[in-house]
Amino acid sequence: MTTMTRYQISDADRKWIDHIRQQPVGIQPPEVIRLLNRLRGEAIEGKYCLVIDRPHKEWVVAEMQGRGKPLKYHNIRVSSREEGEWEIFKLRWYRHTGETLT
Amino acid sequence: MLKITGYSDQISVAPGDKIKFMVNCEHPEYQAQIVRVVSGDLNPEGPGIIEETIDTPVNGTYAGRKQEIYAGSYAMVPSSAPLETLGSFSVQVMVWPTTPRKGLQGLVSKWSTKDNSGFALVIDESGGVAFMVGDGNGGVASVSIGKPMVEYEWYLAAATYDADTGTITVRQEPQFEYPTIDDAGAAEEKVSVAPAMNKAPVMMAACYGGDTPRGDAAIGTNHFNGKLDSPAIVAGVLSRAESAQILAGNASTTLAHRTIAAWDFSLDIAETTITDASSHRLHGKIVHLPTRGVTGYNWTGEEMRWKHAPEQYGAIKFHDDDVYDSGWDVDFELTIPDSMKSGIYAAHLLAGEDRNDEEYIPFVVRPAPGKEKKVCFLFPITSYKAYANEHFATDPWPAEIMTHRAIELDKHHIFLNEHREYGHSLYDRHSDGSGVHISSRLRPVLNMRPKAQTMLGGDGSQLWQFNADTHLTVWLEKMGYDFDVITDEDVHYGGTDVLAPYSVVLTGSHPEYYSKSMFDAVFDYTHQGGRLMYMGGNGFYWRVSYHTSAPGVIEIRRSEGGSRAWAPKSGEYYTGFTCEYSGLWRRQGRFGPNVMAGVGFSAEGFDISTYYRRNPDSFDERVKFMFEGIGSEELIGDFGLIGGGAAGLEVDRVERGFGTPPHALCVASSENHTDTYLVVVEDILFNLPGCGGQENEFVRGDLCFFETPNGGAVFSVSSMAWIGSLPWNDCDNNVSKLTKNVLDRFVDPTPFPVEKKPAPVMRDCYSWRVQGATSAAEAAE
Repeated sequence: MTTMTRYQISDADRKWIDHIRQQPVGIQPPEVIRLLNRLRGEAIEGKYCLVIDRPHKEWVVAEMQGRGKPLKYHNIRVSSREEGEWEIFKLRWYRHTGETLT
Repeated sequence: MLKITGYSDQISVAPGDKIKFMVNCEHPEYQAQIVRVVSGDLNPEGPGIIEETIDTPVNGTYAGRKQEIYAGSYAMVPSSAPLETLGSFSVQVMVWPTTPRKGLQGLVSKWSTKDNSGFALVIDESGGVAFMVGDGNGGVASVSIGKPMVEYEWYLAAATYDADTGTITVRQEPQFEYPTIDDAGAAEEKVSVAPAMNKAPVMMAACYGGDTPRGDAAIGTNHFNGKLDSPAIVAGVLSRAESAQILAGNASTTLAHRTIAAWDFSLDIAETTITDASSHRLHGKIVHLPTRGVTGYNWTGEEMRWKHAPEQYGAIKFHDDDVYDSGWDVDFELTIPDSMKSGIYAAHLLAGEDRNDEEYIPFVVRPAPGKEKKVCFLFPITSYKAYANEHFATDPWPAEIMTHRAIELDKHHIFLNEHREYGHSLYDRHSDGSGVHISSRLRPVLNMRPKAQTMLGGDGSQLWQFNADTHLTVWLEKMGYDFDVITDEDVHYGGTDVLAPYSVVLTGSHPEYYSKSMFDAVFDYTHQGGRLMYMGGNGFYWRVSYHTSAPGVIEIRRSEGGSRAWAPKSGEYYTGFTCEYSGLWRRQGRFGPNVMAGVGFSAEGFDISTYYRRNPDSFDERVKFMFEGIGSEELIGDFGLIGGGAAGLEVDRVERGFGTPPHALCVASSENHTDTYLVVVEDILFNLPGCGGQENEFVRGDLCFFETPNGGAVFSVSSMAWIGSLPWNDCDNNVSKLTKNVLDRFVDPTPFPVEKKPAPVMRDCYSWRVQGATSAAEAAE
């Protein structure tokens, strides 16, 4: 999978998990930007996203599979964008580190 | 997945005009009603959906029917006697393939896929040149080179058919040699199949799959991606030397007499026709607007403008996902009644169980001549076209890095990703990876709809372009302003006279794409006493061309620089439509956004927005009217529906070095943007650290005001998010108040007091700062 950045996630990044859960969007420390660039810079194939099911009320987590290809839906429904960011962060964290966050 | 989509033939109509609606509906029936669109924002924190149903004769129930878009550009020439009595013949073309291995692709064909008859010079599954003949009775023969061509390289593709011996020859001649690449070849084979002389048209860059339902074009199959140059069909079997003479255009008289057709694409680059330079005059046309004005096989690199050396621009670039006119049959037609006041309208279509499936087809009703009001919203259809059916979220594009928020997909994104036949925006890439240069409104534009959300639109309402601009129309409505709506396409064709009746013209949130005619008209309006309220960010940025004969379509070449999704190839900076030097307006002499509006694009980011703080200029007597009721320390717009603030998405700054008038007042500036906001690339000469919103002073939006000659004036908000704050708290807020102060003053015909003063000492500007100076004197040293 190609990505936008070469940064490799390490144990040193674990300290930002709670911060990102609390504040996934907005002004961020440089270390968080570096970490999020890695996670959010995924290639389009396999990229996690939120599908709007009921506008401003409910979203479904999905994975893109590439240009022209249908989405792969996950059985994860969220009722806020913040919740969606956290669900996607958890999936990505697992993908990059093998660690399951709860 | 969407099961009802549609478009109209017009975008702007006046009372008495007719507008046609074309609908694809996979449900048995649908209900149509004309509505006036006031607000399209679904955000519960916003004004909500506001629309007014208009009683018209077309409101009613219609039978649904599926209508398809047959995407993919090609050139076609009707069949005629010389093409139907060929005997022995030769076919050749210069080819620059971009996807040679995608499968069978027609280069020059007179081949009907309905009965496999005729002949076709193709790229076959091997990625190399092949020649096919078919007798229409099941007999098909093909001779192939079998060696894949290299992408983005020129080749001669040529074939001959000897009717006496049944011999086919094929040649594939690269024009540039790579020592370890085996991509040249010649083949010769006797076949037992003779090509049937059918009635199919000659197709270039495709094969013929029948006629479209409307009957004015073909259904193309086996579309080719890449450039074709100098296609020709000649009677008899050409030798290699004769083939070269045909290509060079110096055929002997005898050889010229054998030429059935030699199409010279350089003769009508700005047209939708192709010209046969042979005496048979077998002219044809292009369909779905492939890109013209592109470098040919013989481009030397000495000339950059196709008008200066058209013979080196004899190529056309075709794409299998080009779309100009969807070509659908008309479902209903509305004659605009006199009672329909000027505004934004839509045909609202409802279908399916419980009428849950819906579609809007927006259009503008402009006022009848002589009945204009004082205030005008300039509907930026040109910029809507640029973003039409964009695929930011679903194509390989660093979308989430730009927004630093999770990507949200609305239903139209999912549909468009899987239905590439609906075409692309000027931000997308074709299936071959090249940038999309041309965008049309004669197709369903699914992101130009009420209720549509788009990821670029910032946290909150997530609106962009059309739907974002309903924040302005709902504010105008709620504040009690009586206003007209006209489109910038009207201005393109009608010039400044279209604007002249108005005291005030308000732009949308992102009037980014301007033709020369539009730019001149708006600029002249502001210098003839007109008053312009530039209500957005990154406006007047790209120069585009309108086609001179095909309506509703624009072209861009993103030349040299600018914040851009792709870059054109060398030698292709001038549009095919008009041969204008396309790209940033700020590179076009005494033009550019700063000259027009006092501000120009400075930074962008798409996560959260911020606020403005008043500058010393805001206490100048000249702008006292603007700040009535607003405190001196009050933050302006620290709230809103687009990113939570009035300053966001794309923001502009005052910059004398780029043409901001010297007397302009910079009355407020935004601050504290996130680091997702970065200085625009065109302001960066060397890459340096510290280009983000937390550090760089260029990451800001400036509120700007200046007077223009003859009593005119300009006010610029410099932020796409500004109008997203207008409806906040039911329009009771300081963004609304400041905007109302300006609009009321601009409607007031009282001239602005103008006191002539000596030219001021220039403030520091970009061009000095990049030299390390903060004044002209320092820069001069």
